[in-house]
Amino acid sequence: MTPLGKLWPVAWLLLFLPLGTSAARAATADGVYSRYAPSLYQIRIMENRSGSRAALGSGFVVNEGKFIATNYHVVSNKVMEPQKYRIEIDLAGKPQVANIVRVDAVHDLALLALEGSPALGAALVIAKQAPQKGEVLYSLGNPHDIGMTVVVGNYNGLVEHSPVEQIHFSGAINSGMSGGPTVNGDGQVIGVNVATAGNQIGFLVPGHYLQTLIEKAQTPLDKPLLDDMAEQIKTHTTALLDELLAQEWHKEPMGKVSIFAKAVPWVECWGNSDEKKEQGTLEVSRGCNSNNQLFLSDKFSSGYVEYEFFYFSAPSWPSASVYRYMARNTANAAPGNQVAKPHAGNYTCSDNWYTTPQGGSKRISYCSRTYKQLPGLFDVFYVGVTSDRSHEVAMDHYTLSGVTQEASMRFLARFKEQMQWQ
Amino acid sequence: MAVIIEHTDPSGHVLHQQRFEGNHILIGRSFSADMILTDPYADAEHCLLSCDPTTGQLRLKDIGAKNGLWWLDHKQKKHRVISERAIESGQTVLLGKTYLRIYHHLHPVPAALSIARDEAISGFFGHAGLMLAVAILALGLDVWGRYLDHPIGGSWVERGREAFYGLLGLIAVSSFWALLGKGLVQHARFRFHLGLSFCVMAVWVIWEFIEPWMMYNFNLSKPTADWLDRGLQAIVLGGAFYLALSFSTRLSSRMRALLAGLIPLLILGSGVTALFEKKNRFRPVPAYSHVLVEPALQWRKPEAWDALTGAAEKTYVPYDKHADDADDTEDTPDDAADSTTTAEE
Repeated sequence: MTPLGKLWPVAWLLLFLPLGTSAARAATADGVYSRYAPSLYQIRIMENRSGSRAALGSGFVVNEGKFIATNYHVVSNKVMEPQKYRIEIDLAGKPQVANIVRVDAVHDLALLALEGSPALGAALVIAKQAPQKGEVLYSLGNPHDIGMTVVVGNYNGLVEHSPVEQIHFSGAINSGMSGGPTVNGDGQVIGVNVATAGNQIGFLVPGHYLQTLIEKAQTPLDKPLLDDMAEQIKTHTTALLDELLAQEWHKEPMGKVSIFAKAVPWVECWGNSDEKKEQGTLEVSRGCNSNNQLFLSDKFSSGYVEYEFFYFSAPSWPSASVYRYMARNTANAAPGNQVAKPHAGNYTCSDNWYTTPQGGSKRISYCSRTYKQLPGLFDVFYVGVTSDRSHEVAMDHYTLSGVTQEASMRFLARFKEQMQWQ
Repeated sequence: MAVIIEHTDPSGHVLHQQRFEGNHILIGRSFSADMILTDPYADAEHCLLSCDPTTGQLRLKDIGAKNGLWWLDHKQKKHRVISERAIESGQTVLLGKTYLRIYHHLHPVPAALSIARDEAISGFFGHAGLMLAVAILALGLDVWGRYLDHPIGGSWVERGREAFYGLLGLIAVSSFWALLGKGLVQHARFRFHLGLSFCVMAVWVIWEFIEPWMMYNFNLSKPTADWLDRGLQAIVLGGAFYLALSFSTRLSSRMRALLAGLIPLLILGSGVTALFEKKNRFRPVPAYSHVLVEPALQWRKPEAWDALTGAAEKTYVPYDKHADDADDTEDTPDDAADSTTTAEE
């Protein structure tokens, strides 16, 4: 899934595709639009020095006009660099500055409050019950800054195999609609537009997370916003690791080692093998990842879990060649999440060889880096390579992002015991 | 009385010497001159050198030279001889483009230098047997390393050819120094330079083979191994450069040491710079060790399995905001997008 800003070329194409199908529903869509458009606003993230727009999104009035709801990723620049950006909302042609009240960085939500509490459109109500699969929904927002738009689509239940709950909306959500509401025929908010995968596959943040955030926002935040975000990510990643660690990790053969693969539903696993007869080599690889990252800013994503295994055998090669090959092959392992300098320090690594419980030897590199703005969170990187057999080598590797030291050490304690020679 | 005239090149190196027994020596291109010059910029009768038979005083007289007559002071600065001038034994004069150093025959000459040490070094590196042995070792290890990198698929001829390119490089470097030596000290010593190049290459190839083994068996960290690598480069390249300068130039030992010292300074200096850069530069991927050693070369018992936990815990470094602010010279990547690239979320 991609935040909408990244897919604008696809989105432009998609914009023209659904015209034929939406014609039949035009009457209802027209009604929804005319009733709820006054409650929708374009959110503009302005760069202070240049005075120009750095990002655009949509938002809508909630909680009896007290807040404007949008996506966290729409206002992420302001969260990460508050001095550099400001948030503006266009009220009848007059830009009004808004401030962030609360964010839910895990589910990608934010609540804004306008300075001076000006009069806003009617607040939208959040639906208490989930719709039926196939029910017609109406997504509202301002795609590509071309004006407020209504898009008709269908509710298709929750996204399966995702560590973060999201609604699958079959409708053309486009860039600029992020943060806009998707409502049912009664105008109740089912979800908040958040991402698209193209081809009429859209994603919404379920409305109940917005309801929870609104309830939390009734009391002022007693800590800096980034500290609150750190707590949210910590809770989220610790829960993911707890769930992963609570499962039984079934042993599966891979080459001459036993490993584990799909331990929880929210990881996606893949595998491949390559036997080169003329070279006399066999390579087998397996890997799993959480297929979902928390977008924290343009160059900062977190909340990602991945692990992989690799087996290599070359019975006819000299032993030195086997290890030279593996040294090259394992030299480019990199963490799956993206982090830039303002957000984390460099990795600190420990490299050494250890005697495995089976009596063999294994080189293990363990590295971690500290998040600068989100206290108590780390990215962790592990790569181990066996070095006790002359003509076959196995590698295990994982990266965890946005985790605590305590949770990641528990994961290490379990993971390091998994890959064993059969 | 006798006068010795040395014909030198501009750097002072003697091209040939001639002894004159008379008290008056006519110098010029004329065939009737006592010292006949071939320099087209010199006059037929350029100058007259005289030596007082009682005092031994040397005097030089310009006898109408078109391009003048010049004497060089101890800083090699030129001064024109106006009509006539007394000169000291050992002084250099310039006629046209010809440099002549003039000595009284009683002028003392320096004691003979010992050639034993130089010749021993030159003979050692240029020794045919040693050179052959080192070349076979270096090229053999190079080919063997190429085989170990890709044991299947490549032929020995291919690997040999790749190693041969390296050999051509060594020959090119040796030729450069030999030509330099030929020009500056009239002694090419190609074999010496080639032998020296082989030895440098051999040290390199051997180090590449043993570095992973050392890292494992002496439990060296990557930074330590990197410093060892740099130290070896500094010593071997600095030493080889010093020797090459010694045999191919006339630089004083102080100047040779100074020039050769630049190499270790650059290599170790780049390491120090890298150390600071490493601290300041953000690396999105971890700089973990890539070294692997086959079981047969593992002569050290690895760490206990449980020690991994303690080692891992030490990698969690709390964020030091103060230190980071001091280092932070790089702009944030979240710089403002201009109005034409507004992101729509």
